[in-house]
Amino acid sequence: MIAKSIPDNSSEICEILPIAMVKLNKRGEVLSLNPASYALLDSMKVTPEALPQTLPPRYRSLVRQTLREGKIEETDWAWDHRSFHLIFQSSPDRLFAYLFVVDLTAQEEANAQLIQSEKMASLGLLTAGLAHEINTPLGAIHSNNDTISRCIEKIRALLEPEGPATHLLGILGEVCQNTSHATERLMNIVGSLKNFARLDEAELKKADIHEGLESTLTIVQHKLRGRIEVKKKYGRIPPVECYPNRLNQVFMNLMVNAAQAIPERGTITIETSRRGDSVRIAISDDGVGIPSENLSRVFDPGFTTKGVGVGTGLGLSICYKIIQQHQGKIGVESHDHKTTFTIDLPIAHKERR
Amino acid sequence: MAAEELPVILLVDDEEMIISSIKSFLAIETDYRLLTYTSPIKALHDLDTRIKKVDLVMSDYLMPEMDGISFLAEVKKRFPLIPRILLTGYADKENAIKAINNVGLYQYIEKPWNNDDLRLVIRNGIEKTALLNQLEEKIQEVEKVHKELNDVHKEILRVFM
Repeated sequence: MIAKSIPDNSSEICEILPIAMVKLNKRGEVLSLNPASYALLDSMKVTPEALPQTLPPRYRSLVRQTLREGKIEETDWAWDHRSFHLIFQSSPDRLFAYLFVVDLTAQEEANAQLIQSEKMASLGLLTAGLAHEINTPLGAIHSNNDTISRCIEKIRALLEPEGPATHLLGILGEVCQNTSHATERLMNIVGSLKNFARLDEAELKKADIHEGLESTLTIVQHKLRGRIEVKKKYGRIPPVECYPNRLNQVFMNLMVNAAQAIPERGTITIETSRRGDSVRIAISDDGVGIPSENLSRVFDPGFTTKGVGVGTGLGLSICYKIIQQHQGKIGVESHDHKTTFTIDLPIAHKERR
Repeated sequence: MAAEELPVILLVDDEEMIISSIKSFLAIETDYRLLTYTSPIKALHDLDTRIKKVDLVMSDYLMPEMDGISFLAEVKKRFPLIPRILLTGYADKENAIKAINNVGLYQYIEKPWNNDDLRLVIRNGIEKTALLNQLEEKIQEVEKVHKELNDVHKEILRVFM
C-alpha cells in the first residue's frame, strides 16, 4: 500500500514541490510519492509499481554499500530526458532512499531552439553577405558580356557577310549567349539566397507563399538535381501574413526531408490551395514513408530515425513551433509510399490580447 | 557636337571592375563624356575645384569612405538641379529606398543592372538636365523681355504724363 504523501514535517513543501520526490525502500519499491511524481511517472509511461525496474543496476550495489558502511550515499543519472538524483538515508535498523526527478524536456527543447535559431540567424547573415559579395563581380560580368555582344554586332556590320572573320564572330556570339545564360542563372541563385535570408523582414508581413517556395527550391536544388522530379501544383492563393524567413526555413526542412526519404529516383509534389480563411501548402514525396508507429512522434524534439550526422532531430519540432507562431497547423500522413506534410496557415492573424 | 558640348557623367564606385564595365558599355553605345572616381571624397574635391560642367551624377551605395546617399546629398548642395542616380546591391535595397526618399534622387539602379535600362535612365536624366537648362534660359529671356517692356512702359508714361 502506497501512502499519498511523505509523512514528515516538510510534507507541505513536498506537496507543492514541482519536482518529483519518491521515497523508496532498499529493494527500490515505492513507499510514498508527492503529487508532482504522478504527472512525471505518467509522462514516462511508468507506473509506481514498475519504477524499480527503471532504476540503474548500481542501485542494489549502492544499497549494499550504504548498509555496510553506514554512511549517506548519493548518485545522479539522466534517462529519457529526465535528471535523477538519489540520496540514501540509513538508520541502524532501516534504510530509505529519496529519489528526486526533474523533467528536462522543456529545458532541452528551449536550448535546442535557441541553438537552432542562432544557427539560422548566422546562416542568414552569411547568406546575405555572400549574396552581396557575389553581386559585384557578377554585375561586371553580366554587363561586360552584353558589351561584348554589342561589339560583335557592330563589327559584323563592318565585315563581308561570308568571310572567315564573320564565321569567327558567329562562334563568339554563341559563346556570349552561353555566358549570358550562365550569368542569368547565377543572378537567380543570388536573388534566391537574398530572398531566402530575408534579413530585412523579421516582422510579420504579407508575403507571397509561392515566392518563398520558389527561392527555397533554388536553395535545395543541388540535393534534387537529376534524381528527383519536382511537381508544382500551385493554386490561386492570396498573400499570407507571415514571417517570411521563418516560413522558408520550414519549407526547406520539409523539402530536404522529402529528398532524403527518396532513396534513388522519385517525385516531390508541392501543392498550394485556398481553404476558406487559410492557405494550404502540401509537400509530398514518394519515398520510403514513415512507419505508423513513428507518425505521432515526428514532431517531438529529439526524435530522429536518420542517425547522428544526417538529421539534427530538431528539424520537424522547429517546424511545428514556427507554424504554431503563425497560428497555423502542420500535420503528416504516410501510406502506400506517399508521405505528405500539410501546413494550414491563416491568411491574416487573429489579434493577440 | 564638339567635345566640350557633350553631356558629362560623373561616376563613383569603389570597385574598379564596375567602373570599367560601365565605361566600356557607354563607350560603344553613347557619346557621353565619363568622369570616373573610386573615391567619393576625391570626386567632391574635383567638383569643387576643377569640374566646370556635369549633367548627371551616378554613385554606388556601399563604399568604405562615404556611402552613396551622403555623397549624392553633398552633390545636391553644390548642383541642386543635376539628376542623381544611385547604384545599389541586393543587400541594401530597402535602406537605400528609404534614403532615396529622404534625399530626393532621380533614380536608383539595382546591381546587377541591365545595360539597356542603364542607358535609358542616363539618357532620360540628361534630357531632364537639358530641358531644365532650356527652361532656365527661357525664363531668363522672358524676364529680360519683361524688364524691357517695363522700361518701355515707364518711358511711355514719362512722355505722356
